[in-house]
This record gives sequence, C-alpha cells and structure tokens, in this order.
Amino acid sequence: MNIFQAYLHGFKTTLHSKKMITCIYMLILILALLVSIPFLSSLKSAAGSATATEQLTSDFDFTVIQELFMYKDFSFPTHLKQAVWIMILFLFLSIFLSGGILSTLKDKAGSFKVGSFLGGSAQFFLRFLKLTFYLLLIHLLLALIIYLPFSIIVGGEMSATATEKWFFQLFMIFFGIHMVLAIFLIIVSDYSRFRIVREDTPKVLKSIWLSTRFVIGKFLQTYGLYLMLLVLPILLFYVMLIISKSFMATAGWMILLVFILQQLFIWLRMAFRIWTFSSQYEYFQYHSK
Amino acid sequence: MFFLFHMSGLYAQSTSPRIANYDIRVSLDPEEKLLDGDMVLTWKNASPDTIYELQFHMYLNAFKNTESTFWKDSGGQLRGASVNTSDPKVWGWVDISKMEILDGPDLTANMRFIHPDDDNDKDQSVMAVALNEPVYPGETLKLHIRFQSKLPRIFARTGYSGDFYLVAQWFPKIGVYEPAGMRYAEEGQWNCHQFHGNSEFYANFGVYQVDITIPSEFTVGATGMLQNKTDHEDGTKTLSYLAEDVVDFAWTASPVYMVHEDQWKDIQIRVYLQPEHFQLAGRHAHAVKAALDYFDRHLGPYPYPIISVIDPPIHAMGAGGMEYPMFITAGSIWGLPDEVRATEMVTIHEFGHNYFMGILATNEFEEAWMDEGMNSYFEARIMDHTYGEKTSFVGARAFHFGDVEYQRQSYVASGNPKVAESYRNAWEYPHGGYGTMSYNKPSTMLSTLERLVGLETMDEIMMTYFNRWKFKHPCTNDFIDIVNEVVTAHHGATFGDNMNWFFDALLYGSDVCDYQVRSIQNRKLDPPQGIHEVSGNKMTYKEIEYETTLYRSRVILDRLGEVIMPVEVLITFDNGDEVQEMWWNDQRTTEFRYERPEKIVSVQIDPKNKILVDINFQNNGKTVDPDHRGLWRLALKFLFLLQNALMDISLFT
Repeated sequence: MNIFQAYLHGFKTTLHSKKMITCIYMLILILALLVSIPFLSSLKSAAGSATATEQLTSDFDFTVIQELFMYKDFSFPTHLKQAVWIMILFLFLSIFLSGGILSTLKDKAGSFKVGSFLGGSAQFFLRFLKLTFYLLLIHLLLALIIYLPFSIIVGGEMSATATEKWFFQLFMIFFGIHMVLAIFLIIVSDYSRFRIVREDTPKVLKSIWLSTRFVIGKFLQTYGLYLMLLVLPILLFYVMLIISKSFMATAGWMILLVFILQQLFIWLRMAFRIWTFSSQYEYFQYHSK
Repeated sequence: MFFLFHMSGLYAQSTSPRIANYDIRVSLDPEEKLLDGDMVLTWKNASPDTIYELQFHMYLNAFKNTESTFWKDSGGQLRGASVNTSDPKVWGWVDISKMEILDGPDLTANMRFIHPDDDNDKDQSVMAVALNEPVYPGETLKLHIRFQSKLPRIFARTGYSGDFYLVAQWFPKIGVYEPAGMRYAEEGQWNCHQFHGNSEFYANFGVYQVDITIPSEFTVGATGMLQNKTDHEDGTKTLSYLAEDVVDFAWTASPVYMVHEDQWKDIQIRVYLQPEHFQLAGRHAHAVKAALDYFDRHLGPYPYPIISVIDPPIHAMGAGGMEYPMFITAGSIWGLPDEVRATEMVTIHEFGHNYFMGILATNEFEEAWMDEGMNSYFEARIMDHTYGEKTSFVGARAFHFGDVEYQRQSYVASGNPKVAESYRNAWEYPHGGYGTMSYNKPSTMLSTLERLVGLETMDEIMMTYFNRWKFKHPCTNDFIDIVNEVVTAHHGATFGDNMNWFFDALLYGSDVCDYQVRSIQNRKLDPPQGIHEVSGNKMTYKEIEYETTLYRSRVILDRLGEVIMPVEVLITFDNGDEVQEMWWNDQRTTEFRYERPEKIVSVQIDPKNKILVDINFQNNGKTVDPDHRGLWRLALKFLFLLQNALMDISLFT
C-alpha cells in the first residue's frame, strides 16, 4: 500500500466516522462554551444598557472595547485563566479520547458505539498518558536544544550590532529546524499509539523506540503522508481567513451565519484529525510487522 | 580685558534674537568614541541686567556614573532602554579643558559644578563660571572653549551603538538668562536646570557653524545645511554645516546609511535609513510631507530650508523618537506592516517638535506640556487627517484605532488619571506620570478645547500663538491669554468671561471629568380621576375618551468627577423626536422631565463627543433597548479561538 492509497483509505474511513467526529466536536463545543458563556455574561453586565456598545454592531471600536474591559466588575484575566484550565482539562480528555478513536478505527467491522468508544478510551488512557508525558518531555528538550544556541547568539555580542532582519532570518532557520523535528515527533507519537492499540502492549517506551525506527526506516513515506494530510487543513484555514476578512457580520442572521461557518470549520478540523489517524493507521497496519 | 563687539552686522538678517551663537570644530575618534571639540561661543547679554557669572548645561555628564541626578531619577533607563553598567565603555561625559574670553583672561579655574534643583552635589550636569569682568546689558561676550566629550552607549537619545552615532547634547551649552518679566521671572536669573530623568531641554536661539571631522566612510547628517566638504589625506573628511536661528545642533554618522531625498515646496527632505529599512523610505517621506503641509495650513510656515529624518538601527532604538532643529530621529522595524503606522506617528510627532521645541522654544524643563502636549495634539490631528480618524495609528480591519483615540485612551486608561496635574516641572511628576500628564492628557485637553470652541477658532488660537510668540520662549500664561482673547472674539461670553476655568481644571488641576446617565424612567400617566366639566355637563373622567396616552418621563444625570464642563444632552423619544438640553452648573446631579405621548428610548451625554477628557464614555449614554449584537460577535470570536486552541492541543495527543 502506498501513501496515496493510505490517504484515500483514510478519507473513506472518515466519511463513515461522522457520528464519532460529531460527538467529539460536541464535547469541544461544550468545553469552550463553559468559558464563553460566562465571558458573554460579563460583557453584557459591563455594558448594561449603555449606548456605546451599539458602535460594536457595525465595526470594531477600540475605545468601546477598552472601556468595557476596564469596567470595574469585568475581569478579562479571570476569563483567560478559565480558558487555560479548560485547555489543561482538554489535554487529559484528548489523551483519553484518542484511545477511543483508535479502538474504533481498529474495529473496522463495527460502527461507532459510545460504549465501545469509552471502553477503548479507558483501556488505553494510562498508557497514552505516559506516552504523551514522554513525548512532551522530548518536545521540551528539543525546544531547549534548538533555541538555547539561538538565545546565546541573540543575547551575545551580535545583539549590539545585528539588525532585526538578521535576527528574524536566524530565528526562521531555527524555527524551521524545530518544525521539521516537531512534526517528526508528532508522527512518532501517532505511530506509537497505533502500536500500543494493535498489540495491546503495556510497553510504552518500547513502542516509542520501535515506532521511531519505523518512521525513520520509512521516513519519506511517513513524513510525506503526514504532510499530504496537512494540505487540506491549511487550505481550509486560508479559506476561513478570506471569508472572515471579506465582510463584517452586523445583522443578527449574519452573526448566526458566521457562527455556523466557524463551527463547520471546527467540525472539519476534527474530521481531518480522524482522517490523519486513519490514513496513518492503515499505512502502519500494512507496513509494520 | 576681553574683546567685545556688538553683533549687528556680523550675520545676515535674522528671524530670532541670536543670543547664543556657536562656532564649533569637532573631530570624532570612532575607536575611543571621543569627540575633540574647540568652539567659540558668542553670547549676547540681551537683558537689562549686569551678568557676573555664566551657567552651562553639561548634559553628557548625566551619563558619567550612577551618581548623576539623571541616573538616580531614571534608574539608568529611558523608555525601556538601558545599558550594561559593568561595561566601562557605556559611560559618557563632557570635560572642558580650557575656557577663556577670546583674547582675554582664562576662566578655567572659575568653573564649578552646581546643582540648582536638588542636593546632589555629585551631579555635574550644570556648571557655573564666574566672570572676572561682568557683561553689561547689550554687550557681547566671545568665549573660547576647548572640550572633550566621551559618547555613551546609546540608551537615552545620544551616543553610539556599534558604528552608529547619534551625537546630541554633546557640547557645553550655555543656559538661558531670563530677565525680570520674561516668562515667570520676577528678577533676572539663570534658567539652567540639571539634567533629570524626565526632563528635556531649553536654550536660546543662535547661529551654529559646525565643522565635523570624521573618517571618510561615514555618511553624516546634521542640523542645518551642508556648506562645504573637504577630504583629507589621512582618510578623514571635514563637513561644514550652518544652521541659523536654532536652539540646538545634533548630528549623526554611520557607514551604512542609505539616503532617500525628497522635497516639499522648496524644503529639502533627507531620510537617512538603515539598509534593512530602506523599503520604508516612502513612508517616512510621506509622513514628513503630510506634516509640513498640515502645519503650513494650520499653524505656520516651516522657516528652515531642510528637514533630516534619521532612522536608527534596532540596537540603537534609544536614540529614536527625538527632535532637534531641522533634524529628527524616528524609528522603524523591518517588516512593519503598512497598517501599523508607528513609523509615521513618530516621524510626524518629532517633526512637529520643530515648531514647539524649535521655533516657539518653550522651556521643556518647567512646562513640558507646552511642547509634548501641544505637539501630541497636532500629531493626532495630522495622523487622523492623513490616515483616517479610526484607523490612523493601527488600521487593520479587525483591530484599528486612530491617534486622537489613542491619546485619550493613554490618558483615561493610565493606572491613575489623577496622578498629577499636567502643569509641573518635568522631573517632579510621580512615577509613570510624566508621559501621561505631559503628552496624553494635554493633547486630549486641547482636542476637547477644539471641539468645544470649534476648529476654526482653535486654528486661530494656535496660529495667533505661533505667530505672536515664535522665537520668543512663551510660557503657559502667554498661551492662555491668547485662548481667552480669541475665544472671546469669536464666541463672546458663551464660555464665560474667559477660559481660565478650563485650564484651572484640566491643566493646573488633577481632577477628572466624568458624567453619567444614571437612569431613564418612563411612567404611563393614569388618566385623571373625579368629575370634569364638558360643555356645562359634569362627567367623570372615565366617560371622556382620551385620544393619546401620556408618559411622564425623567432622565437623571450625575457628575461623578470634579471637573465641570458644559455638556450637551440628547434625548431621543420613541417616535424619533430628539430634544437637546444643556447642563453646565456645579450641581452633582440634574434631571430633565417631560410629559408627552412618547417615551424616552435613549439619552446621550455629549452626543458629538466633544468632551474627550471625560474618562468614561461607557456611562455617557443609556438606552431602554440595548443592542448587544457586537458583544455576541466578540463572545463568538472568543469561543472560536478557544475551540481552535483545544484542537491544537489535540495534535500532541
């Protein structure tokens, strides 16, 4: 099986996974609403019945927004902190859910059932938690190894005479190296999960090691497949950017339309995540012994 | 005996009283960052007093050590820039090795440092020199001074960074002698303040003839016009500059400058750019031309033949955002988006200083607001006029604001808008107050004045002020007198006998202005009870049909701040009718009542946004039916961003 076949296979699997995608999307929506609804309430409370907020209907207004945020009973940092806590919670939830996703993908014959999904999530949660912990450590180490020399160069004598253009170009080199290696680690992480699920093995470190060897051994294919899988999400992002820049939602129905488009974007992002998992898993199944 | 002669006839016809004239020869040693200087100062005693001593600013001594008043005030930083004090090369100083009356006695031994503003006897930023013979009224003194200046590492306007030099406040500079009656002087005195962390400068007008000798590979820009260039065999060159009717002379040198030349009418524009910023040359030039044009129409003509704009490198940003006659430093960043007009703003701002610091030449030590505040006011006007009212500073679609808006927000959203009054000695603002109280609040105050009296009246105020006081060092009272004169001529007693109440509150006072709409009340009136005579018949009110329902409506307004302003109030009824009221008294609260068939739907204090000094626009209006669509849009954006953040997290899991 080549990577194009794996890519197409992943697409077909994704088409059959709409129920699972929708459930995970709903969870993400609920979590985000847990912070956004209080945020909206705070804004409305701060605005009260002020006429000033009418200016936000047709355009961004720096003065109105800043004065809203300065309102004594409105605390934007509090809402930001809540958002951070939700993100931390989701980190663990996402680890939990990935077990369910891969169990469902592994079980080709069955359709999505919440019970099986949650069972799979629970089955692999601790192992995936360990795996994520190890990989995040490696990510941190990688960042340190890459950016420490950069910060030494920037903070040294060069900073007395170098231009910001030079700094930016230097940063882009380091950043580029970081991105290449970070994507490599993400791929290793994915294949490690596949190995754990397929073999139902408790050996997390061994899975990482074997998956690293697998990815390096088939570097062009595994890396190429992943990059192929990034193309559509990036295109989608640009489409969303163009749409958001093309008009300002002023009327109620326009705001609703923008909301729907935004949620469709999130749903599609989740779909692309499943597509990535299933394409890579299919490739792994075929090429790994 | 010392050589004296009267100045008239020596120079061409002048536009300023040329009191302090400098003829300087200086060479730069780039290895040691040293300037070797030899100058003749021709100083005229234009006062009716006999002068027994001279006072000089020795500004570079502020960077000599951590004992200076500047260092103690600022903590060794300015606008966020600082230096590594463990490096011995970062320090700067200025030394006079010899001072003598030309063809006369040596005064070197008569020099001593003084500290007129504080008790810091280690500060060496002011030097007094006792004269062996006094200078009588009308007489001119010629002093020969040999000096050496060590340039500091740039963090506060002047010095070097790598091979970039911004040479400012680099020579011994005579202070201003104010005779009785000039500004606030009740008796003749030297006005020669120490160099403080938050102060700028004050000097007399004069002619500067400066010869700069420097290695040939450097490109040089300076105050004034280049008169002559001489190449030497030792690999150096000497550039001769002439600047007339100016209060200062600064210059720059760098081997990498790329120079963009432009013109506005007969005024030369030269932009000295770092190579990595050359693509921003057009933005600098456009901003300068916009400023030249606007000032020409709304304040007065620019009297000089040239304006040079210097773009410092990123490692010398401490030299950016500063003004000298005919010579300003701006600032830019490689890759700066067109929508972020920081470069334009700083260029227009620093150019504007040529009018307020350079031509009006107010005392920046004692009345910083007259320079920074007035200049910020004009900067905001020019920016909004040129680049759009709500988009001039940042003009991105999803995030934008204008300069007038920015000035106001910088004031009202500062940590404490009551921290100090704007009228203060520059070094006496409490921590963090200098910027807000000398730039943003006075700028907002003047924008408010403009909106109250009208643009036409405001322009006449500013043009009268400029034309009457250019080259004459006005003070706050002089400006307020003109405001009173012009406003009365245009508006009679509309704003009272004079505008002193306005400046008492906003310039001399630290209180804030804040009006609010407390409530809107609409009460349906019950039909009257009892018996009523209709055509001689007694009928109960129930038997009479009323065609319309009446409402008794009431609007309650409060004055939360101490500052009293004439506020317009617009009341809108549900049939679209609008009623305009005025509230201008010292009461803390007021109300307006109506009995009509319509209900009040909204009330707006200051509907035309005249009173920009009001610190809270949010409470200026109320409506019975608030429109929160904008808030929904904001909240949905927040939701979307958070959802995307969660999806990004899932990449790692």
